[in-house]
Amino acid sequence: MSKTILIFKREVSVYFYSTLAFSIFCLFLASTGFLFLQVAQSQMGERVTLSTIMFKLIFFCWLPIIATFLSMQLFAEERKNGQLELLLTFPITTAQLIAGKFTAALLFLLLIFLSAIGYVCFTEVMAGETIVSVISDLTSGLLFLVFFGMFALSIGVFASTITSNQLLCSTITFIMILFFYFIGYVANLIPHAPTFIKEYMNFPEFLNSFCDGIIDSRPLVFCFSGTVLFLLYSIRILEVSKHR
Amino acid sequence: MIEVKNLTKKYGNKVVLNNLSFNVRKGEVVGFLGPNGAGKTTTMKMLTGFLPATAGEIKICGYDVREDPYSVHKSMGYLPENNPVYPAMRVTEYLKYVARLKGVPYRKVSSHILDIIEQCDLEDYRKAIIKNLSKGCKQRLGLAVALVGDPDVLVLDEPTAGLDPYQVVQFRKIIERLSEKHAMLISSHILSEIELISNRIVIINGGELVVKGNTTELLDNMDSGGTVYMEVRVSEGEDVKQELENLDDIIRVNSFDTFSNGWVAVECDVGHFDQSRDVLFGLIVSKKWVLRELRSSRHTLENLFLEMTKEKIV
Repeated sequence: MSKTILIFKREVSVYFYSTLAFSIFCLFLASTGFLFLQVAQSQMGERVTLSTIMFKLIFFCWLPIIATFLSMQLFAEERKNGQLELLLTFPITTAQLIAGKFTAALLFLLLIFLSAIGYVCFTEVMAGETIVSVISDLTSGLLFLVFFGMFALSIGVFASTITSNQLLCSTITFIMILFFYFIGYVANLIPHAPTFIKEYMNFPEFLNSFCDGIIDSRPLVFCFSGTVLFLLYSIRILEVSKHR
Repeated sequence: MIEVKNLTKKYGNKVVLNNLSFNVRKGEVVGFLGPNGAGKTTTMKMLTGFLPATAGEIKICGYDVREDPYSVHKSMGYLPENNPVYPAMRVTEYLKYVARLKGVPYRKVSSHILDIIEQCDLEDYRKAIIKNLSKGCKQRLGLAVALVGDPDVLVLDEPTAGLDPYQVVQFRKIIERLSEKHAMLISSHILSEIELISNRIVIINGGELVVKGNTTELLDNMDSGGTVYMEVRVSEGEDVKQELENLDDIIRVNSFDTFSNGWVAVECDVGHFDQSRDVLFGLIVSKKWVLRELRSSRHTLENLFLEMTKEKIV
């Protein structure tokens, strides 16, 4: 456990020492702020909450991009530079390595989400809402984003372990994340599509429910199971790749 | 400390390492030599457990690499060929990170790191950012990383590659200091360095063991030969080259240059180092040639290496 924490700490420090990560942060906040303002103004008078606008903005515009960016530098770069080879000759397990890197990326993703949600909190509080009611409105949507973000990152970790090419890694991650975005839509259009796809994988629909405050356990269970599965696959792939 | 028995590595049908066996004892520095593509790095990666062997057995400090990689990793320090480091970290910060990963107790980390920094002559670079270090410093840092956790076995893959002569000498001194406490396997293309620092050598070529043994004994047993260079003035019409080639002790004339006033310079390989010099001097005296230079050198590890690997290279 302590070695996982060590790797986690180093990875977090890498994010916060890297100018690229800060650039992403700034770009994200600036563009999200601008889009949030535009969409909120265009939806004025409609029955839609500010938190819903923000969550949809993050979910549809930013989550696949940020998850792809974060995951492409998890293993692909270290593999290319040979750092992974050295790390794997230390007395640490592959699981510790993956867990440390994954949790650090998840923390960074969570911080990005929270910084964007700051816009909603600020606007609502300025409009006279109490901070407690604002937070309670945001909790369910944030919960969904965190679980889906975790799932998207695990896809990225998986892609990062199968190739040392960062471009290929980011392409695989992005396509796989988009697959999970749209598979629910597509399944609804096909009459005899498997029910479990409609029930468990219709993420845009689930987002609406969570934004309305309805916490549905199905997507959470799916995302959690999917995360565990992809991380286990990643561990296996990393161990097998040593043996090629 | 390192025991390798019948080690074989295949990629599909291609055999990259065939039935290799050798061992390294404590306090011993073994030079691991071979031309590019001979299988040195593959062997080293198998020693660290990064690559699995197709057949054979590797034991590090008594632990089987396949069955107990965790104990093997605790007992071994490894410096890979390209010496991967984290360029944005500082030297001490990086070493502390590695120390914690290698399981050095938290309270001992600082003193342990200071010891290693001193051993690797990195005192002046403790706070330096790694990407700003010179190649020589980076190699010493790579060695420092291998030393973290005080492992009994050190596996160093081309540690002096790309270093300037001063850095090579500095690195050699560090290796000499460390050799008493560790079992070391070092691969290098700088054969003169290996000759100076290693007790024994293992030469492989095309994935197969060519020769192994005590460096000095191997050189002595090679053919007791060497190279002789001489400059003499001869009378007009005398064929020095022919005279030399007629001698039994001369294996071949490597170079032959003629200058003005009858001076010639000859370099030749001789079969028996001590005897051949006497024979050559006898020839010079008997022919009444004027001698202005006669120097000789015994065969070096380079000669041995070229001799042992030439068949496959050709």
